[in-house]
Amino acid sequence: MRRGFIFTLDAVFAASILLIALAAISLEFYTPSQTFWLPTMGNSLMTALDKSGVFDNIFQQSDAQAQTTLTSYLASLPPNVNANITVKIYHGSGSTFTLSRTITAIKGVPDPNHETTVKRIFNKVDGSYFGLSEMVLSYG
Amino acid sequence: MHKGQVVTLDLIFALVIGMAVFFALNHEWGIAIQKSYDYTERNSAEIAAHSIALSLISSKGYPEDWNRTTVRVVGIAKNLDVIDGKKFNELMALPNASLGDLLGASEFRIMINMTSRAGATINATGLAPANYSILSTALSFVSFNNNVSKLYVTVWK
Repeated sequence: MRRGFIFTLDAVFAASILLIALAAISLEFYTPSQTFWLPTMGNSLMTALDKSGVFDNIFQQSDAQAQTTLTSYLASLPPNVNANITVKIYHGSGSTFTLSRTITAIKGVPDPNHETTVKRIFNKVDGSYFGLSEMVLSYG
Repeated sequence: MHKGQVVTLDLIFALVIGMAVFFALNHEWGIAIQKSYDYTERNSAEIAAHSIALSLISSKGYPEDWNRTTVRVVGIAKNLDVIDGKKFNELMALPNASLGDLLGASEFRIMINMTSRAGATINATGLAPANYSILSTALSFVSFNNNVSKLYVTVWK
């Protein structure tokens, strides 16, 4: 250290680290907490689709019709939400179920680093088919 | 340094840097405190909005056959996410003054509205947000008259 040098390079370095730490802490408060509620929204849409009979109708629809139906429901999500839904229909025969159809609908591309997934199982009244729906959502 | 000089150029330089760092830290600290306060307020509004929405769509209320005069706890569900039309109408008829207390959010003002999937208003109650500092809206999808509808619960103050 040179004579008369009160503020050393070490002190400037320490103060810089402190400032960066403070900035990082304050930036943390900008993290959107809404992500926490995304699964709730996704689950409520899946439940409403099931209980309004939309999933049940898919059993009678062609793949193209089902895709159009699902796309129209995804469109009712808020504009800042991207999502895709995949519905797999399984057919039961005896004690085994085999995958018979897969229908996918898309609204934007969910961010893989911040996406959340919700699932719901539904079945046809006569028990010969059941469906597994999986929705991936993220803010985008 | 000249003889008899108390304040050196180095000292002035150090004081200037020291004060700049101090004011920068002080400013950052103030911002951090304010953000912390805003975050807490926003968080409590989000929790209130989502709790009220969840309670409405998952509970039948109390008494189970409540109406606008007998209501103790508001719930408008037949089953989870399936809305009882009669109770929904009773909810819409509740006075704004008691809505916050009944829904457990007296700290906030509340607006509840239901729309079709496409966004056409079915019915609404409560106070529309005005001059607010904090606002949070919870969106839930529900089955209403066998149609997928949207229930918005907005809390604000």
